[in-house]
Amino acid sequence: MTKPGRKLAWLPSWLQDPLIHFLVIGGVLFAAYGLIVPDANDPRRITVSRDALINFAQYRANTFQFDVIDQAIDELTAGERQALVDEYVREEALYREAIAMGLDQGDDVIRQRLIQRLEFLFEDNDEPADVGRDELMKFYTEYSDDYIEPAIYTFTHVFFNTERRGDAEAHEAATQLLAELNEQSIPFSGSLGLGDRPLYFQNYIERTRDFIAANLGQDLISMLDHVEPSTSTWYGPIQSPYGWHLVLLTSRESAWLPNLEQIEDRVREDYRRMRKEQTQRQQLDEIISSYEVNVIGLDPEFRNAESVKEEN
Amino acid sequence: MMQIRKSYLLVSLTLVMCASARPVVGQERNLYWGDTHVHTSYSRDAFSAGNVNADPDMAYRFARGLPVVHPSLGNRVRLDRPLDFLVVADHTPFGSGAPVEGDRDTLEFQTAAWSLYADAAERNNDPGTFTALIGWEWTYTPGGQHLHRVVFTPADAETAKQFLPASPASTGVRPEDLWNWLEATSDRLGIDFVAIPHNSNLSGGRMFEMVDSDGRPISAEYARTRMRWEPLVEVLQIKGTSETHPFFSPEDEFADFELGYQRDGNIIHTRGDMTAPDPADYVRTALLRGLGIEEEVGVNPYKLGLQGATDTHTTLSDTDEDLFAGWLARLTGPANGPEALPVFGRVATWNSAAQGITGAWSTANTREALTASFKRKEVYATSGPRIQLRMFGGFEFETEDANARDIAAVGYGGGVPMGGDLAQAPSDSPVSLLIHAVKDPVGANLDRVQVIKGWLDDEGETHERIYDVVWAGARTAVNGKVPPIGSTVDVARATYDNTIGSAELSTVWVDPDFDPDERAFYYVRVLEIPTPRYSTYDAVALGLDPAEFTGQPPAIQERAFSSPIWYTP
Repeated sequence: MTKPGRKLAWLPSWLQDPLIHFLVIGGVLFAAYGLIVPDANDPRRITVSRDALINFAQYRANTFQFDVIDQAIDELTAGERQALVDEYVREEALYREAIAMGLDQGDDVIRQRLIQRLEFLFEDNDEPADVGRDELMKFYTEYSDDYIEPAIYTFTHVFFNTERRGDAEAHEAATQLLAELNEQSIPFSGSLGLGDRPLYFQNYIERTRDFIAANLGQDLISMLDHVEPSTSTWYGPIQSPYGWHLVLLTSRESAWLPNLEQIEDRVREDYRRMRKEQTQRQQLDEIISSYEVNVIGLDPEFRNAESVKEEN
Repeated sequence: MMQIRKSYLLVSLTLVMCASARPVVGQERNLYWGDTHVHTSYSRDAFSAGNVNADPDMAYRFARGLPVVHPSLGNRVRLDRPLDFLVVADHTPFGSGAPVEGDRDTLEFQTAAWSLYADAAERNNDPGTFTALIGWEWTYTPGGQHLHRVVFTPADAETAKQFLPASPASTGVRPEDLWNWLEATSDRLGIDFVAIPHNSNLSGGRMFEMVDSDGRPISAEYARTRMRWEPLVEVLQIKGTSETHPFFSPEDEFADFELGYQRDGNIIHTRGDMTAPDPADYVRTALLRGLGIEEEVGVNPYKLGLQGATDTHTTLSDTDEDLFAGWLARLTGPANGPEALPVFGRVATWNSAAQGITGAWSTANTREALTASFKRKEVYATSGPRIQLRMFGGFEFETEDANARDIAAVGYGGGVPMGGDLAQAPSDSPVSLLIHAVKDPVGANLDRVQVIKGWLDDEGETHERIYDVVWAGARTAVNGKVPPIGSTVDVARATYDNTIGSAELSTVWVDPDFDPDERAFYYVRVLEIPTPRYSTYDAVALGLDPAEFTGQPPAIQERAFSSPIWYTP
């Protein structure tokens, strides 16, 4: 993973001396320490490292390509490089001054950003210990809503395309065929070849309510809820955004909840995730609750400005 | 502002909630939808842009349709229609956002990060339901020229851990070096790879050149090696559309579509020396070049299938115009408010496009089957809508085949699907294409279907021509062009309706200019009726004038591009 072109051979011989390396590395570490913890060292000294400059330039150029900037910095003229360093120094100095003056207080953007970074710091990446059966069952019961399998429908349909036939003719053709289908007790597979080519599917086998609604519209699926499943009774015409449909609904299963055994892996994963988030939240809550809170001026009775002043 | 965004998201979610992702069943293949290009906090640039904690696991979970907390907006979001497959493609080497202790520029760090990364894919891979392909991005950008490749493999995590993902630093900076690495790794471990070049629009004349990386004319060996590893191109993504440019296709009235950062010459680069559009930057010109090179050396290096992906850096793959929340965490809008949105430095955020996605005709939703569909280029690109598109090429399709109950049976029975080849026309019969396009079930109606043909004449010159082949409504072509369909977009309210356009368009098109002695390619472009652009939704949510606030067209015609079919004499 070494970067190309970072070999030492091109350096003059005195720069290849290990003592010089020691001193340079020591100096860099010292400087880096100063950059990371400026106050602990010398708050009035600004160290400009390559990484800091790259990061800075990325935001300036809005070009989040580390390697591009890394290379671009090498290609800058001395004057351009100095200008970049000056700009960085200007920003760093003014930033520190602003912090020292407390100007970060009361700014919502700064507040939110700092909170986000703190939350990240408390994100727990360790896997929690194995979860017991009872604990898992408790979780499953509590969040059973998340595991409900949606209602599913099995039906076939004959479609009459209004774009092709016009609305009146499509409806008329559907009505006529409906009588024939029911008189002759045409079965499920009888829909093949009848009517017009369906836009999406001819047969919907164990499809969810959402899926059918996405294909044929909310109205059609709502109608299906009022149809008695049957292997020979066709129903319709039902309207969709695309035309008229004759439907043979052979089964409709209500929404149901699988046993824990059937979905244990998924529940376990969700539990793990929830615990992770919970741990983070707890740690954050601990921070929050370590503060003493004093609420003033919210009680309508104390809306009077005088009493608020007294509290203060 | 956060309040506005939340309610806006809620409304949008409710509007499109009624869908769920299930493959569309065809005769031999099912249609699966996926994104092959998502960056997470593991990418250095994503991390420094504020994506500090949205990891690969979150990318997969969001793509699977599970609720996640939005990393920048802080609200709970869920993809209304899950994806069927996803490639998380973080830049290698990984950055400080990978939750590993230590210096990121060490082998230990990279190995540990890669292991976590591969495990996230494995954990979320559910054959038959959701496919998590293990991949990454090989990123080389000399002087701002994008020579980027997404690489993915059907291999499982255990196998993937036997290599470290290639980067220009580890392979060498030429694409040829990447292909050598792919070949060596493939030989060593017995696994396959697919590399997909992208952002050719930002390559500064380098992506589809007439020469190799050392300036030598392209040889048959170069062409074969390139096609072995890079059979496709990402033609649509957030940073722009690479299909073509009005500069090269002045006759194409639909060429100026989401050109991204090139729109006002506002290109991401650092030195200010990016050149004007170059034929090597665009896919249509590359397809044309390929015909000429094949004539010269016998192999076509640019026989490219077309696919779409996002290249989002927010971890969340969202291409719906009414949901799209920017591509960099810091630039996510409009929650940040108007003053934070328009321009940061040189890159106007609004130039980003809420696109793209890949439709794959595959025998199954598994790593192996999907990779095979990419390899045979039986995939296509859309700018976001899930437009169902079939195209078959043959010599004997007849007009009534367009009305067949089972288009797939006719198509596979009498022709080759998109991505395929035709050769040596029998008795000089012209190429005929059987095309079937159906609107996104929860999206906008279709305006028209076009065939884009490119060919090489006997003088060695290349040509392109666009045919309107089937369209909605009673419009008559004028000078070979069907007039615009009009618009139902209400810009002030960011709405449209489906009172114009067709739900379904199908036809058999016979090439009226066919010459059995000329090399040619054909691909299909499907256009939707105009719908509001994401910038319009955002502006309206903020109570601002869309055109004035964003400088972008308020409405766009979303589209699908098929992979081409090639004809060889």
